[in-house]
This record gives sequence, C-alpha cells and structure tokens, in this order.
Amino acid sequence: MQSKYIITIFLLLNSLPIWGYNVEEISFKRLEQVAYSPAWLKLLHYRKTLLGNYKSDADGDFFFWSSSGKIDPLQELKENLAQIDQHRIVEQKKLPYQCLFPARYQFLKKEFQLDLKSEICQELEWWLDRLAPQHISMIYSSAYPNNPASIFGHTFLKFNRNNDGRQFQDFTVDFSAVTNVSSGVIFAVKGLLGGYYGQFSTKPYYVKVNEYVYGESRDLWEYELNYSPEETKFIAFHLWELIKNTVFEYYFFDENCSYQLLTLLEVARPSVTLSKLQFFYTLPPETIKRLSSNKIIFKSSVRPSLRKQFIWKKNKLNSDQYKKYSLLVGNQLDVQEINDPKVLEVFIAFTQYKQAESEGIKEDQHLKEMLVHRAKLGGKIDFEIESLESETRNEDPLNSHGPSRVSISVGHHTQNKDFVSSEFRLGLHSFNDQQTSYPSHAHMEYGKLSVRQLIQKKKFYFDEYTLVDIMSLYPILPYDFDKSWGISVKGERPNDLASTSSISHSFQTNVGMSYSFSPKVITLFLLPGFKGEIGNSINKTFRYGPTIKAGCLFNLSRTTGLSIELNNLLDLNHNYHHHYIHSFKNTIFWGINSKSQIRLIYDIYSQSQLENRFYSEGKLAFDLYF
Amino acid sequence: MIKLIAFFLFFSSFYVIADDSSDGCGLGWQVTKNKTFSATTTRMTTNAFVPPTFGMTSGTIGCEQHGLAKKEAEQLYYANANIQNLSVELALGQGEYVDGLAQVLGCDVSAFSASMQANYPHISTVNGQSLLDSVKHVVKQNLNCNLI
Repeated sequence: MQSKYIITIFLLLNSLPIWGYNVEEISFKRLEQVAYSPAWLKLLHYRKTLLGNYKSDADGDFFFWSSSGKIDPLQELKENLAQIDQHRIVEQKKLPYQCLFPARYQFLKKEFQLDLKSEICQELEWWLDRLAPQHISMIYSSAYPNNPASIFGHTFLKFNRNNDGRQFQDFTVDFSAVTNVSSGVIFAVKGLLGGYYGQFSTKPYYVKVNEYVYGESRDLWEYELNYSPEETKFIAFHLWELIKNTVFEYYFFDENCSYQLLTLLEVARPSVTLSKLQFFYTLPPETIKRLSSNKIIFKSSVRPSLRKQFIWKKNKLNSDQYKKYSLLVGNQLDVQEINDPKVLEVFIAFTQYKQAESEGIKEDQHLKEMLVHRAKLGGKIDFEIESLESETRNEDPLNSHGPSRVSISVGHHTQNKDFVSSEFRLGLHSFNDQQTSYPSHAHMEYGKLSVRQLIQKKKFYFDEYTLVDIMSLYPILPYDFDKSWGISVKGERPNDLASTSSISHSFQTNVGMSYSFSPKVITLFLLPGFKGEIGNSINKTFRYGPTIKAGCLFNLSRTTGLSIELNNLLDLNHNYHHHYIHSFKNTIFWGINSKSQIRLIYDIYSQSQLENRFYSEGKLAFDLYF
Repeated sequence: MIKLIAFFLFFSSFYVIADDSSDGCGLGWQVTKNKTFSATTTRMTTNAFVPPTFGMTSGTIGCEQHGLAKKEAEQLYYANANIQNLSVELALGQGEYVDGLAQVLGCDVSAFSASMQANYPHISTVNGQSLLDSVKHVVKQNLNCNLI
C-alpha cells in the first residue's frame, strides 16, 4: 500500500510544471548536441582529459547543478534546464537562476527557445551599470626591473565604456592567486601545485596604473579587442557567474592569470579556441600573440613605466639644465634657487621614482616644497611623451620571439675536431637572443639540453643540460644603485679538459655590479661569486671555489648584438697552488625575424694546471623559436 | 535595503616579488578545500554575497565600508587611490590623473588643471579626504562643475 502512495506521488511530482523546465520535451539527440557543443563546454569550463573524458576547471561546488556536473556535460545541461526557473537560497535571499547564471540563462533560453519569465536582478543590474561593458581590452604588463621572474609578464582585462574619455575610470578584471605571502619557497611550491585558490577581482584602471606603471616601473600595453557590445556584455555575464559561484585552483604554469582570462573571452566566441595549452604552460605574452593571430586585436597602445618616463625627461635637458639638475640631486643647490620649470620637473620625476623604489608612501616635505615652487612658476612643459610612447612600441611583445627554441649548429673544436650539435631549450631568453620586448638585462634559461655528434671521432653524446640559469643586471645610474646577480644549476662536459667521458654538474651563484654606456648599447658587468662542480672527469671529483664572472654586452639594435663573458674559477680543492679554470665566451647573434636567428660563437677554455694548453671551439648556430 | 559592502584584498600578480598592496583587510569569504556541506554552504554564502566590483587602493583607505552607489564615494575613492600622482600633477598643471579628477567632479578638464595649479598652495595633500575638500573649495570659487 505504501509503495503505491510513493509511486503516485512520484508520478505527480514528475508531471507538475512548477518543478523546472520539462526536459523530457527536448530530444536526447538535441540535448547531446548542445551538451558537447563548444558554447556549452566553454561556459562550464570543461577541458578534455588525457583519457578523452571531460573535466571542468571550476573548483566550486555551486558552479554545478548536477552532482556529477564537474565531469558530465550532458547531465549538467539537463539539470540546468530543469532548474532554469528555480531559485537558490543565498544569504537568506531567494535568488533566481537567471540572476546567478545570467550567461547560461541567455544561452539556454536562445538555444532551446524557452519561454521564461524575466526576473529583475537588482545586484547584477547595479554591477553592470557600474562596469558599463561596451568593449574590452587585454592589458599586458612587462617585466619589473631586476626581477627576472617577472619576465613572464602579467595580463588582465579592461572593460571599456564608449569613448567618452573616461578610460581611467574603466574597470579591469584580474585573476590572481589568493595568498598571504608574496614570495618564498612555500609560495613557489603551492603556486606550482595548485595549493592556492585564484579569484577574479575588479578594480578601476587607475589603481592598476598606480601599481604597475608607478609602483613597479613596468610598461602597460593595451590591446583593444574587437568584441561587440553584445559579446562584451555576455563576457561580463559570465564573469558574474564565475565570481558568484566558483573558485579556481591557481596553477603557476597552466591555469594561471592568462589562461583564466582567455577562458573568459572564449565564451563570447566559442568557435575560436584561445586557451589551448602550449607545452603545458600558458605564457602571458604568448596569449597576446594568440589573440593577434585570431585577428581579435584591432588597436594597441603603450604606457611607458615611471622609470622610462624619468629617463626620457632627463635626456630632454640641455647641458646647462642637466648641470643644475645634477646639483639638485647632489643636494648642492636649493630648490628655491631654480627658476626653470623643466629642471624642476625632471627632479620631481626623479624623486617620484626613488620614492616608488623605496616603497614608502610617506609625505615628503622636500617633494612638497618642490611642488609648491613648481606650481608657482606656472605653465605646462611638453616633454613630447608621445615620442617616448612611439619608441617604446618597438618593444611590443607581439614581435617578441617565442618562449622555446631549437638550434642546429656546426663547428670545430681544437681537440675533438668537427662536430654537429643540436639543442632544445624550453625557455626562455638569454643575452644571446634577439631582444625585442624582453627586458634588456634579464637572462633566464631553463630546460636546456644539447647533444653532439663528432664527425671525425665518430662519437655521439649528451653534451650539456641546464636546469636553470638566471642572470639579472641592473646598470647603475647616479644615485640609483642596485645589485646585479646570477644563479645557475647546470651540467656540461668540462671543456677545459676536452673530455667527452662524463658530464660534471655545477651550481653557481654571483652578485656584483653592472654599468651601461649610452643607454643600453654597451653594458659591462662584474659579478664575483662561488661555484661548485662535481664530476667523474674532474681530478678528485670535486672542484669548488670563488669565481668571477665579467663581461660586456653590445646591443647594436633590438635584434642584433654581441656578448663577451669571462669566467674564472679558483679551485680550492686542489694540490696545486692557484689552480685556475678559465672560460672566455664570445657570441654574435643576428635576428632574422621573430622566429629565427643566427649565432656565431667562439669559446676558449683553459686551466692553469695545463700550461700553454687551451681548447677553443668555433660554432655557427641556427635558432628557431616557437 | 542595507547593503553591507566588505572590502576585498586583491593582491598583485603572482610574479611580483615586491610587497603586495594589502593592508591586512581579510577577504569576505574563506576559501576552503573542505567539501563538507556546511563548509561549502558558508563559502557559498559569503562568496555570493559580496559584490566583487570594487577593489582596494594601496593601503590608504583601510577596511571602510563605502556607499558605493553614491557619486560622492567615487570622488573620495579616486582621491584616496591617486593621492601621490595627484599631488604631483596638480602642481605640474597637466596630466592624466588631474584630468581624471576633473571628470569625476564634472569639470572642464583644461580650466580645471590651470585653476588648480594657480591655487596649489591652498590644496592639501595630506590624504584623499583633505585633498578632495580643498579642491572642491577652490572649484567653488573659480569654476562651474556638474558633480559638486
């Protein structure tokens, strides 16, 4: 008897129209078609796994209506349709589906021609009114001086209102990890393994300009995208869905800031795939290139960093003005004695830059005095900043070389004779790569491996590997001093021994100084440090001791240059008095286009133990970036 | 309806080694990997409730609650966030930050910057509120703006 009641109630419930949209009326074929369409898959952030199944990147339970929603697009679609005119209790308020998932709502309503009553979503409407999403831009920030980790850059989106000059007040959308520390080993490990959650945040653009251009001296590149107001509004709807209903685990390599922004953009044009992973990571500059190759960018512009602005203004002073400026900087002249507003403005820019560097936001009486004096002099100075912007455009990341590189080279070694070698480098950029948008003095290589085939001696072997090799130079300016430094973990055949028997593994770290003549054309560096090496071919297996790394970089243009580097190691683990190991490396590189370049290399190796014996190697390499 | 707006703390990108722009204000919601019903409900509640729109400045505002619907709040927010650049550009008589301030106050951009430079000694740069007040005072005496 009881079971009859249960069955009756069950049947009644199933036929009651108030329990969601009647999914049974839609054919299974149609449901399947939509469930596996790019539009639905992208709205739910599904990615295909290696086994060919689907799994959503979204890590918040409330993003899905079905309990198996995270892995089942069809079930999720059915459940969404069933609940499309339902509510959820959120903070004691009943919020309709439409107000929690406006993008899905719009999509499903149109796709299935659903006849639904439109709800009023007060909070959403208010948010949209503030955001005013008419058009959208992707913003890219370049590297931070003396911070090679920032070489990867960062991207965020900006919702643009129509051209009414209110660009500064436009809102940006950023995806960042939520952490309570900003550096350190735990930070790095958690960041790599998804130990942090990431969230979307919106801030007015001027806050970002403060942070990046002024606070950190990074350039901001703006790429205006050709999404229509309807598409842009749909992106905003989807952003609302994400913010309201889910979180994403933050993975430094793949599901990082750039990746999540691309998945956000994709919902507006599901047929275009933007968020494909390359080599299991998403590099911010490469995402800009992807937008470009899909013809989504229609205009670009750049905001030069505070440091660039300051140096530019300083270079606009004539020699008399520069003298006065130097006296001001050296505290040998009082601000009140200067009546040239141009000189004052350069000094103000210098002070601003130094203040930003020291991270102090204290009210500076000295600066205040300068500003009052400057205001009193009146007038406006034109430093022709537009020309700085044009010049900075030469560093457009769109023209930069790709993150990975393969090379083929032929050469001759004095003992090993002719050889052919090939090299693979996962990333990223060295002093011997064409520069374009990469920061001038940052060197960061990781995942490098090379093999060599000796022609006459008929030997094939693994030649070298680099786990990580970082070097950052900070050319000092008067009153602007910071250290230059380097660190590396790598393995190579001890070239001073001309040995092909075994690789020696080394760890090296250096700290020192560098100086540039005529902005960035010639840079000298001197970095003393320490190196430890271990390998079977080495006498006594270990060698370690103090090192000096010295050299010179010539940048003839943004795509051509020359580097010279001298390395000396004083081996302490040796019976001989003063056992030195030297290497002298010279490279000329010539970029053909952003995908390829040629290098000419000549290296000399020697050690004091083997007097008058040195080995040298000449090589011609052809590089391909991808 | 009373709208409580809690301020977020939004950190700079992962890549920046410098200190983040936090001032210690906590998030409106606690992220938890705990997938029990109560944990997710809690997260859902606060997560859904907090309007995500308005981020923080670098340390000058603090965990205040703003009536963000009002235009007046937008002006104060702008002044607080940009106090350093405004202090400089108001003296220089030009610049994007000054133009932004003019727009937020509904003033003609070029008349505004000229007037501010001429009256610079009367402008306080101690904090956003004092800057805004002193700027408005100058405006009332010299200009005609829509939003004051």
